[in-house]
Amino acid sequence: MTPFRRCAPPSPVDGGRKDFSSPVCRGGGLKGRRGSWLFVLLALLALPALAVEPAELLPDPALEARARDIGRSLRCVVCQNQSIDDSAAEVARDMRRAVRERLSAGDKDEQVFAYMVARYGDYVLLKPPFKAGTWVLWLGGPIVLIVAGGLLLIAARRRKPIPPAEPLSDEEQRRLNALLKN
Amino acid sequence: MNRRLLFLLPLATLALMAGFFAWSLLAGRDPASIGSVLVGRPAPRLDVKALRDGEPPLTDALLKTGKPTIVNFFASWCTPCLAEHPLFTRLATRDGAVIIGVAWKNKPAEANAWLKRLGDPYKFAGADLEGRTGLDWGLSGVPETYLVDGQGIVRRHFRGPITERDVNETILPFLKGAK
Amino acid sequence: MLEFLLALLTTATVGALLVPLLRTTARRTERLDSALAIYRDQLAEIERTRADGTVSEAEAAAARLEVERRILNAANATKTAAPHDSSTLHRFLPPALALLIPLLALGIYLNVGRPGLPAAPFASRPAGEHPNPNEPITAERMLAEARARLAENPNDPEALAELGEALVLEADGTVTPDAVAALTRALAQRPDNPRAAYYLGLHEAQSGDSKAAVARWQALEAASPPDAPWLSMLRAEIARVARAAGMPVPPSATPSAPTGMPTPSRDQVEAMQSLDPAQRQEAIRGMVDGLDKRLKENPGDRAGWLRLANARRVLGENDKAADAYAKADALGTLDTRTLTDWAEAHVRQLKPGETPSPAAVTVLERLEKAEPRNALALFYLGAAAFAAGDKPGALRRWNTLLALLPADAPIRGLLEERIKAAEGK
Repeated sequence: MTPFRRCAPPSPVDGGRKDFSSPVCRGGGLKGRRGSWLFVLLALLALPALAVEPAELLPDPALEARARDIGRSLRCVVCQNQSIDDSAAEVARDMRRAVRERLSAGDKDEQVFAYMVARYGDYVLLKPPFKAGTWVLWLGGPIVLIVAGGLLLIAARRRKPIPPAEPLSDEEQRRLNALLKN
Repeated sequence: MNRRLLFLLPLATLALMAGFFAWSLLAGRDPASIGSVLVGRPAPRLDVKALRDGEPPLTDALLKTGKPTIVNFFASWCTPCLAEHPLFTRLATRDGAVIIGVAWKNKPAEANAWLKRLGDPYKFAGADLEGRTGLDWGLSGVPETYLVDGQGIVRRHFRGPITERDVNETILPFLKGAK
Repeated sequence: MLEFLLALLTTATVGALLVPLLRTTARRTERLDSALAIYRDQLAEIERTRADGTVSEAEAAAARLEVERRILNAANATKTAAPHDSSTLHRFLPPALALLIPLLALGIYLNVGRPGLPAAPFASRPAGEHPNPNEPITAERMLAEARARLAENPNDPEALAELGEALVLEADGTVTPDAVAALTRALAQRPDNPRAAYYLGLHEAQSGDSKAAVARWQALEAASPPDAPWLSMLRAEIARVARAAGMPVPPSATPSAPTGMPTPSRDQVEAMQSLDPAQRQEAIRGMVDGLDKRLKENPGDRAGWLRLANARRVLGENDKAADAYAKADALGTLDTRTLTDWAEAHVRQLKPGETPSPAAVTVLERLEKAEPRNALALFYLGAAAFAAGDKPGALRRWNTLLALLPADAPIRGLLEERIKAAEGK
């Protein structure tokens, strides 16, 4: 699919604003408001498999982009491993709405994350913080890689060199002939 | 011989994993359990409309009366809520517990009809139609139950329906101890 | 069917593991053959490159030598590895696997699976549940029916119990306050209404009083006739609730009750019922004789002797029953109820007017010691004392018995006559 070739019809999410114009339609000149092109980019790239409903979207595209970023890193607490943006669960919808409320109220991203962690704990973060309880999670993979690589290296070093070529003895020559004859 | 031992390494790893799986399977561990961060902290804001007509809205003041309180989020559309309901009726009638019920994402008419049929154990009942209060309380669904002591500190958070064991081993001692 | 499938799967698994293990030695020689083929190709290649001059004579000789060495090494490895492989590990691995895998699978299944769950083929499922598939039993229909019956007679206990049950069904299995009210009223009228007792117990279990629920259900179980259709469900419920509440599961609620008589399976009962009386009698006698024969081979089985004694007594073979009781008695003390049965087996052999035999007297005396007011012991020991000339002993027992007997007991007349005779002489 090459979405940039086509000029997308005005989407219902732009709230009917007259001045909304897609820079894509104008041949790529990114001169419009900074939020507009971001919004389009977002809308085009992130459309598939999103549970975010049109009614939830924020009118300010910049804020909406931040809300999407945050939503992708927040875990839906009733799903096994889905972000709240991917989940159609009731709780996920409430959480998306709360994220947008906090952002509209002027919260920074960190404040929104803190808001969620205060309610649901670190579990709600799809990328858990690095702390005493999670170091195995963060360092486990690299440690295994280093240890296994080291072992492999040592094994390779210790491999015996190929014995120097000595001519075959008579007895060996006889056996070889027997083997090759079969 | 040394190299042979090296070949046993994957086998040992397999045994280790099998042991872990067996333990997970048999120890009754719930991998979906998400714990709660509210325990030991002041209860979140309580600010909901009353469920029953003509009653004042529910506020934080209800949680700081000096008496222990049980806060139960429920909904008439939720089957586990039905299963745990007789336990709340018993706690209210037999053990004199103060129970605050919050109907979560439940139309008041439906929640009230449900309570009329099953009996209403809630001293105070609120309606959290939008789920805002539920979010503040770290709710992941219904039913969930919180034990809040007289000073308004959350002491226990049950996700899912409470059981007879919870009543006997946790809730009744809590009601007695915190009084 | 399921067991067969499981066995098949396990066999396949074990086979999949064993076949390659057992075939390693065979495979090794195959491997050498394919390796030799490759080496032959390599040698041919070296010869070709030497011939067309791409590689110098010396280089070709060195390369050739190396390949030849590899061939010899590969052949040596095959030769030395073969005996090595039949070492301990290789010898014991296949039988160990063949044994361990099914055992492990079985262990896990018994632990985690549901071996007790009967197979429920789809076709046979609805038949037992509702006799008329066109008219399924719904909560609404039951409610309407119960209400109609209550309109006629507001205190009909059956209708009240049905109303309670319908309300429970309507509430997806939760016993609602309305249901409790109806069931309590039903039980007040008919304390032995099993439906009301069951659902009130369920209410107790649901509202966190499993102890009361189990007690109520056990009372219901005890009061139910042994062929009551709800018994198996009731026992399962007792076990479920007791387990969920962390209480010890009562022995009667476990499927294989170790107490007393083994309960015949439903199939056995049905098979018995289909026979005509004479055949049935014969079949039962065959079973009793079989038990007798088994006990002759294994005389230490106390429970078996008790079962045999009981069966003989019921069949009216009192002399043989008394012998069986004596065998059981030699293996362990009998309780008062069994002593009574034993004594009864003895005295039933008596002809009218006959005095009890010494063996009967021994049993009766033991019974009297265990239960001083036992009517059977008092009556017959009195008779024995009278026959032995011990009139005070006879009178003491008979007068005690007379005081114990209800006013309308049919034996009263006979007893008074005897007392009079003893006093008169």
